[in-house]
Amino acid sequence: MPIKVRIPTPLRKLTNGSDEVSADGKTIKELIDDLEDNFPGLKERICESDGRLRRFVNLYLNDEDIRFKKNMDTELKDNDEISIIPAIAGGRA
Amino acid sequence: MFFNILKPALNIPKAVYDEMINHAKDSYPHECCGVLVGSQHKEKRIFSAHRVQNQNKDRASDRYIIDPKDINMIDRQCRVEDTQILGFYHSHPDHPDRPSQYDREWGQPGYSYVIVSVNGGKDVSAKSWTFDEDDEPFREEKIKISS
Repeated sequence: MPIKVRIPTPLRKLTNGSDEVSADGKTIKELIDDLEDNFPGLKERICESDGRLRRFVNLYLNDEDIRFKKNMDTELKDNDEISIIPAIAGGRA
Repeated sequence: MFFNILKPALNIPKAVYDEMINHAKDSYPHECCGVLVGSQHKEKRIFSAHRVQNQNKDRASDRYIIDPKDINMIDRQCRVEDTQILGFYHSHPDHPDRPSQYDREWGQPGYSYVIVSVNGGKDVSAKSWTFDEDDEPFREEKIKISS
C-alpha cells in the first residue's frame, strides 16, 4: 500500500531532488522506517534518537497534524498523503 | 562584476515585492510573515507571496511563527499548480534587514528568507538570505525585481 510523502526543500537532497516519494507502512512509524530504507538519513532529520518527532518538524496526515492524532502510532490507509513540514519561525531578537 | 552575475538571485515581480513591503508596513510595530511560492530551475522565480498570521502572539514585536497548517494548505495548492514553496518572508520592525541569531537558529537549508526592515512604520528595505548546509551561516542572495 504505497503512500505519497511530500518532501520539503530542505530534505530533497536526501531524495535525489524528488519533491514527492512513495513509502509503505501501516503506521507513521512503519512509514518512516520504510523511508529510511530507501532514503538513508531521512529518519534522523524527522525523528529524535528516541523515535519522537523532532522539534523543528511537523508531519501532516492529509490535513491533520499527527501530534493531534496518535503521533507515531497514527494508522494509515489507502490514498492517505503525508506531508513533512519544517517548522518556520524567527524574528529580530 | 563577473562574480556578481554568477551569484544566485531571487527574482520577484514588483507587485509581489510591493505586497511584502505593504504587509510589513501594515503589521508595524509587529512582525509580519508570509510564504513565497514560485519555481526553481536555473534561477529562483517567485510568483506569489501569501500573507499568513504571525502565530507568536506573546512576542509579535520581535518574533514570528508560521502555522504549519498554513504551509500545508499552500503546499497542497502548489501541487495542483506545479509550483513550490521557495521560501518565506518576515519583517524586522525598527531593526536591520539582516538575519538575527534567532533567525539562523530556526532557519532551514535551501529556502530563501526575505527580511523586510521597517523603520518607524515608513522607511523600508528588504534583503533575501539563504544557506545550503546546516553548519553554514546565512548568505545574502540578490533580489532582482522585475516589472
